[in-house]
Amino acid sequence: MTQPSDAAASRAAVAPRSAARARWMLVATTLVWLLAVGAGLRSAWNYESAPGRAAATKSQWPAGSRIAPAPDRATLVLLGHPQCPCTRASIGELAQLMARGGDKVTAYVLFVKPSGTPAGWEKTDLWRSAAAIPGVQVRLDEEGREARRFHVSTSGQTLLFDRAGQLRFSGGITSARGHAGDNAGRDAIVSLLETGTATRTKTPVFGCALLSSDADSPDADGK
Amino acid sequence: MHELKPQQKLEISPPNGTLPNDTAQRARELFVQQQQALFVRTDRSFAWLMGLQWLAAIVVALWISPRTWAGQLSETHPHVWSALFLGGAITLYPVGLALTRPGEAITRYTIAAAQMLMGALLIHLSGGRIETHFHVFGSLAFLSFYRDWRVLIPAVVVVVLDHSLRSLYWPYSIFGVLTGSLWRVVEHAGWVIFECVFLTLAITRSVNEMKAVAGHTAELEATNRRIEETARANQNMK
Repeated sequence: MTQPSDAAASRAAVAPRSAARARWMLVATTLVWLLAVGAGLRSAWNYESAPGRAAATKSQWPAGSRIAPAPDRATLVLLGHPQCPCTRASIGELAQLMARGGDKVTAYVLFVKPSGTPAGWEKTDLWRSAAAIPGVQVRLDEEGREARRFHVSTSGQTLLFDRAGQLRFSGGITSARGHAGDNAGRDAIVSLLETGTATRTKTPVFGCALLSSDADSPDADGK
Repeated sequence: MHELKPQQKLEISPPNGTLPNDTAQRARELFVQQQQALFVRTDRSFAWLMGLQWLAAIVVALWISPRTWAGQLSETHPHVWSALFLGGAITLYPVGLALTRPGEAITRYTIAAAQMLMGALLIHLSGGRIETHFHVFGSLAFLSFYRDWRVLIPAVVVVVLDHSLRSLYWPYSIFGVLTGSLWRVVEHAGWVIFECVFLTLAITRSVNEMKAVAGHTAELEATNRRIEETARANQNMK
């Protein structure tokens, strides 16, 4: 039979062991928590960095477009989805771009209004922000006809044509979905406007799909 | 009364000489009590702050990017789910520690890491707005309320890891360049370390002041005791 003093000694020996085990369990739980949060952030950054479908714009200004390229300067066309939150960053980058090279370019922002949307659906804060940029002309692209003519699928796609109507740049002007800040697209366009050359003429584009189904796909020429 | 651990046996001495042993022991006790109370108080403040940050992350996601679109179709934006679930995961564990294990070292180190992770999430949700990056610097300043320079280490490690991994795997999203740049990582980490150097200096000074106050209080207690003893002795003599 165990004496009371033996039991007390045994409890005293077990107590530090169980405290050490509890401490290690806590450290292990914290590491598992860190790994789980790291995996969550990784998934968020993957989404943020996943580009949309790239444009297949022809090298020449599309025939039949309702807008015409400027004869005396470059023409920039940005196609946007009026409700896409990612495009807010593209409009912000466009504002910066126009502040630096607005005197060398005619700029259009075309907001796509898909079929079946109510009147005024396209008049969002994005529309108003784009319209407020000096030198930018905002137009409605009913049912995405212009998007089809330019073979553009993703909101934020920006095209730069020279005065001869030749495509000089095609891509996004943000570095990730809805991400403001330095990016290769904006730098390339500024360089093309200022020097006529750029190290890059294509960049990934980040934004919502302009149209919802394959039937609406811009791969077919707009009518 | 808190028991002194070996690593807490800190040097406490008044500026004009050494304290008697029992007074020095009492000064150490007072210092540890004050430090422990500070840790617990700061843990609780962070529990509140982290709850509010989580709420703010959800509001930001609902405000900036409530839905994602494809033509006329829309669904809840992944940012909203990130704010809800990832924000919840970042917040709930350290808040749980702050409530159940306030004052423990692992609680404040976890809180420090969580603050930086929440900063990364808020930057993600706000679309990389430069203003949101101030959260990192504000959080470092708030972490210094612990007056324990060691809490800055997990915070800096999280920031450096975040920037290094993103520079390696998603360089375009973090720096806007299509190839990773080690120097940009060094530059960003450098500013964080710059702040930490000054916070560490301030923490060291503040801890020294706490020790001095504890020393003076212990001396005052000893003097009071001596006066009481003398008065009692005088009364007995009468």
